[in-house]
Amino acid sequence: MSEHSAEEVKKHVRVYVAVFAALAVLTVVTVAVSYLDLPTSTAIALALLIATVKASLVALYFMHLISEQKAIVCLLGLTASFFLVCMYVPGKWTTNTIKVGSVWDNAVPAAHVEAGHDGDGDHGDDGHH
Amino acid sequence: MEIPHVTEAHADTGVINGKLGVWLFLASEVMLFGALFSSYVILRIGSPAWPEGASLLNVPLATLNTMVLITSSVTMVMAWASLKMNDFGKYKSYMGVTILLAFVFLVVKYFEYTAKFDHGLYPSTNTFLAIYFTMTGLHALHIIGGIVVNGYLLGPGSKLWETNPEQLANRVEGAGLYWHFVDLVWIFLFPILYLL
Repeated sequence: MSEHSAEEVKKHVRVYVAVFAALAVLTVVTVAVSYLDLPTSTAIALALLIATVKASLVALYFMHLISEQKAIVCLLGLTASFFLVCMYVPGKWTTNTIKVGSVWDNAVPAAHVEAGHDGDGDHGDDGHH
Repeated sequence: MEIPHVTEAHADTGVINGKLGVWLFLASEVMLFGALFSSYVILRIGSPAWPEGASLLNVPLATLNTMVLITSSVTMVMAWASLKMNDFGKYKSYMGVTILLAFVFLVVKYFEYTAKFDHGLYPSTNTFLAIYFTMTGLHALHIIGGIVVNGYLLGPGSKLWETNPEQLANRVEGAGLYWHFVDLVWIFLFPILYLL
């Protein structure tokens, strides 16, 4: 774009390197945290928080959203609101409302593997464990 | 007929048409992956039990792949920055490394997939593996798409440097937006599938 002169781009390069370092560190942090055996809800919240920070860094600096035109930002705001609806909808369900019989009984693979199933795909059709 | 607004911003949007087009495409991509993330939540909440990703998947390999994609995002943005700084040679190097890293990602993914198949773990095995293969498979297709576009911009497409260097820089910026998006999707896929 014309708003990026060669001089400005040189300054950008230093920011890109800093963002790269931050992304690498956050990747290590999120893996390290996963080994801590935190309660599931805390682990999910923490992992999603770190992922959101990483994604924001990519969007703001690599995708230049921090200095993008209003038209693009508005377009993405609209997209984000639809995305949030997408994520809100399944939160309204509980186990009881969407239990679909035998499909769910295959949800614990480790147990099946340990029980000596070779995963040929024909177990669980009758819906018992 | 000449394509309008390839280097001059459109007065109504403030950006060149190509950039608006890529962002509109990415908006539709957000909804495509959004539907799958939404499905993941439904499947997980609806299941009486859910395996920890690490018990089935290879976390060290996925961590390596995360680093590979992050690095390729940096080389992609550096490829664009090199064009803006009038260094065509550096552009070629950075773009080449970006494509190479994309192949590294796919090779690692190939080893992950075949290791699963060798252990009799298929998409049909259970709900977790079904959503795992669906999401990472679609993501891998996006990586292949990125290789095609970046390969064009490195090869035949780079001839544009001689006639309209700014247009080439803008095309690389557009391809970069797509590539960073693919990186961004992986940033979420990695924790939800492997770490939680």
